[in-house]
Amino acid sequence: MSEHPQPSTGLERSQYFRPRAFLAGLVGGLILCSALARFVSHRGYHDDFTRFHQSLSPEAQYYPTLDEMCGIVRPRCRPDQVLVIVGGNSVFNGVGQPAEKMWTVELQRRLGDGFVVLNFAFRGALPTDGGAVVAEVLRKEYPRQVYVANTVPFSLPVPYGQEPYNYLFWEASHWGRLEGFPPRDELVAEYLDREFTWGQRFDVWSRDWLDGALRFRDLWNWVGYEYLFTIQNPISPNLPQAVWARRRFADIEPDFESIPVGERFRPEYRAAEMKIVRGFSDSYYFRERSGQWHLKPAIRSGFERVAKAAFPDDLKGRTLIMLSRNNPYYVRLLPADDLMRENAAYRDAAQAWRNAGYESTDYGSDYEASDYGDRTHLSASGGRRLANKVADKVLEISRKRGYLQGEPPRP
Amino acid sequence: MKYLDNLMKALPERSARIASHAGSLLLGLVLAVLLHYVLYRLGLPSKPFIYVAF
Repeated sequence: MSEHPQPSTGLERSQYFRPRAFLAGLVGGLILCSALARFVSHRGYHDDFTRFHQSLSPEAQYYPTLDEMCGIVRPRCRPDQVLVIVGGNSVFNGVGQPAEKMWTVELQRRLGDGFVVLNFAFRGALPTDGGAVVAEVLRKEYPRQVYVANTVPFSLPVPYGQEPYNYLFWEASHWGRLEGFPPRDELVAEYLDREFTWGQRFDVWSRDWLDGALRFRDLWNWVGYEYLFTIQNPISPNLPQAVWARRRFADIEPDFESIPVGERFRPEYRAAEMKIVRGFSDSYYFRERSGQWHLKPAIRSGFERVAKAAFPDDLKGRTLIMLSRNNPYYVRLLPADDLMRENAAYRDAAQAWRNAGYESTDYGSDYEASDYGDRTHLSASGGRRLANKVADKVLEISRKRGYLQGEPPRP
Repeated sequence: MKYLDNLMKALPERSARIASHAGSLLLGLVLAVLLHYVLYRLGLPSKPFIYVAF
């Protein structure tokens, strides 16, 4: 009996196909892909990382993964250094500041070699997005750590973050990499019940579970970063740039300082900008008969509940929340009464964050119009002033938590 | 396919068996990579995020 294939019909040709070998190839291939993804992400491959600029962000259909971000930290931060992770929105991302003038570069310079500053802020992110998740995931690997993020008064720091960055929270949550914290779990459960059908919950869970096993996001992000990017995106829509490896895209950010101050704040936008400035406080406050502005009790209690649940208790003390003030060019246009309410909002919000267990202060009240590039984003000069203030606060937190004396850090 | 038939006929029995196993294994590997990529693509939002400062 010969086993030599004698193909003349389709049935006999099927001897060319060996199901066991095929299955072994399929399973082996998936295991190899997953192993390669874990290896490259853990080791890190963003050699020239500055920040998540437009070509390296969800705006360009590039979604950095949790392990990819952790892989940016590892080659840069030694165990004896204090890790400073910066989160928050476009203001802390450094929009309007070229890479070499970025405020976090100045922060690094001021803090010196004992610290490593990494800018993980994203445009339009909450203080609980992106960098916050990475900081929590790395809490044991880097116990000497400060997390800094910005926000505006009484914006709710929902622990599950917001689109499009909340995938990082779900990823960390489904993979069991976040600390157990019942107040947060309660808010997350309420959110899931309110916003997701069971089918959608299953979709998110199964996608993260599958990715946790196979790491397809990690692998293909690495391929897209190093070799070939295959996702059509609005930042580089045309060939050949559309498929260029993401590493070829430099961090090119326009420089606000190249625009004369008089041309930065266009009169045609003034009414819209003033509406936004007033919106920072007008719906949160009511006026008492005495004429004083008071925070609405429902706003206070709602904010306190969410803020207390946003980060686990043991991580709050190393979390610095900076409240971003609007450009004085616009603030000065507020009537005295509105200005009083605005100041009350910043004072009360910083206090509310502190009451919830965080470090918090505001910045910008003593800045010049030239320190801004628009209503909210800082120019390089504003960035330097911000870096100065944040450096002082980071040093204060580091001293308070025993990071600097060579003693083991307090939990 | 005819070329493949002729090739398999020309090979000694043992080599033909090894070749068919290797081919099936390779096919599995290629499909694994393809499946891995498809899963990645399916996980991406269909519309990109547009950032608007406010």
